[in-house]
Amino acid sequence: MSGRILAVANRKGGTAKTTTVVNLAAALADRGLRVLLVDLDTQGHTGLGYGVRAAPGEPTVHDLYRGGGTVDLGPAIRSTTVPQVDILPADRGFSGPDGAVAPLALATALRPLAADYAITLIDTAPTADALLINALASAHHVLVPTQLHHLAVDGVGQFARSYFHVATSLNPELRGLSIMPVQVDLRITMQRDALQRLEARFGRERLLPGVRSDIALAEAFGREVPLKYFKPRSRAVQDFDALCSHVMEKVFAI
Amino acid sequence: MHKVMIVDDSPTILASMSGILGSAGYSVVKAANAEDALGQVKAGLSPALVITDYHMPGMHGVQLIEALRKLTQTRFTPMLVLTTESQQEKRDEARKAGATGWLVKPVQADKLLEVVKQVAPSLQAIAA
Repeated sequence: MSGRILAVANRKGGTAKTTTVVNLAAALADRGLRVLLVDLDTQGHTGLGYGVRAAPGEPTVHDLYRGGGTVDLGPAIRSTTVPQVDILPADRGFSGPDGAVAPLALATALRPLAADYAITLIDTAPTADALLINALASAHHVLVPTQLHHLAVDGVGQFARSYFHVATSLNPELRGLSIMPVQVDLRITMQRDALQRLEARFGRERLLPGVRSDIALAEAFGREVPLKYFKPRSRAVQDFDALCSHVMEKVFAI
Repeated sequence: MHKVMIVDDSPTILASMSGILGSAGYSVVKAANAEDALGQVKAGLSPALVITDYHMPGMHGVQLIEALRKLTQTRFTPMLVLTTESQQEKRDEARKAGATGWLVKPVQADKLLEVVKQVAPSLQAIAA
C-alpha cells in the first residue's frame, strides 16, 4: 500500500492542474509526507513552481519516450527547496514521442521510484494523448480540478470515460476519481448550478472541497515557491490545507 | 536515527506498540508523556515517525504535535495520533495541528504496520 500515486488530470486546459500539484504537494509535505512530483506536461510549469528547470541535455521524465532513452528515471529526480518534495522535471523542448508509446511505460518506470515516497503527484497536459493514458495507467487515484462552469459537467464526463477505460483495461489498481472545484465563488449562480450538476452526475462522495479564487496563487509562481512559502495566511493556502486532509483520507484511508 | 517514537502514558500500550514495531524490524524509542517526548527531541533526537496518544496527563497529543512542528528536526516528520475516539472534530483538530493521520485504539498489528508503511515508506526500507 505504500507509494500511492495520484494523477491530476483534466482534458480541458486552464483548470489549475499545475497550481493544484504545486500547492497540494506543499500541504502534504507539511503533514510529514515525502512527495515526488512528476511533471508530464512539457510546459514544465510544475518545475517552475519549485524553481526547478531541466537544462537541455539534462535527464527528464520525457526521456522515457525517446528512442534509445533510458527507462531508469532515478537520475532525473531533483530535490527542491521544500524539504520532503522532489521532482521529476519535464523536458520543455520535448516535441512528441519517438514512435508508439507503451501504455504501461510510465507505470513500469515510476512505481519502483514511487515506493520511496508516501505519495507521488503526476501533473498532466490538457490533452487526451498517450501520455495521459500513461499517467492514468500509473495511478491509484485521479484528481480532476475543474472550474464551476456550464461546460464543467461535460468536460469531467469526457475525462471520466478515459478514466473508466484505463481502470477496466490497463490498471486495476486505479480505484478512485475525485473532482475538485477551482476558482470557486459560490456567490455566482452559474457556479452553484454547476456544483449541483456535478453532484447529481458524479455523486457527492466524489466532490472534494474547492479552492477559492486567489491572485496570490499566480503571484507565487513568480517567486517560484508554493503559495504557503510566499503568503502563508492567504485563503488559498487554507483551502489547499483542507483539500489535503480530504485527499489523504481518499488515498491513504487514514 | 530513523527511529519510531511512541508517546503514551500507558506502559501497556508502550510495550504493545513497541513490540509490534520492533518485531517488524523498526527501531523504537519510547516516551511516557508529551513533555518527555519533547525533551528527547530538544536534546537532539530526530525521530523518523512519531506515534502519540491523544489523552495524556499534562500536554495532550495534539499539543505535542503542534510543539514538534515548530522544531526544525520534526518540522516535516510524519506524526500519527492514537486514541480511543474517532469523532470528526478530534480528527479536524489533529489535522489542523499538523497530524499526518489517526489510529483508533485498539490498533491491530497489521493495521499499524500498514499505516506506518504508508506514511513513512523510506523507514520501511530501512527496517526491511
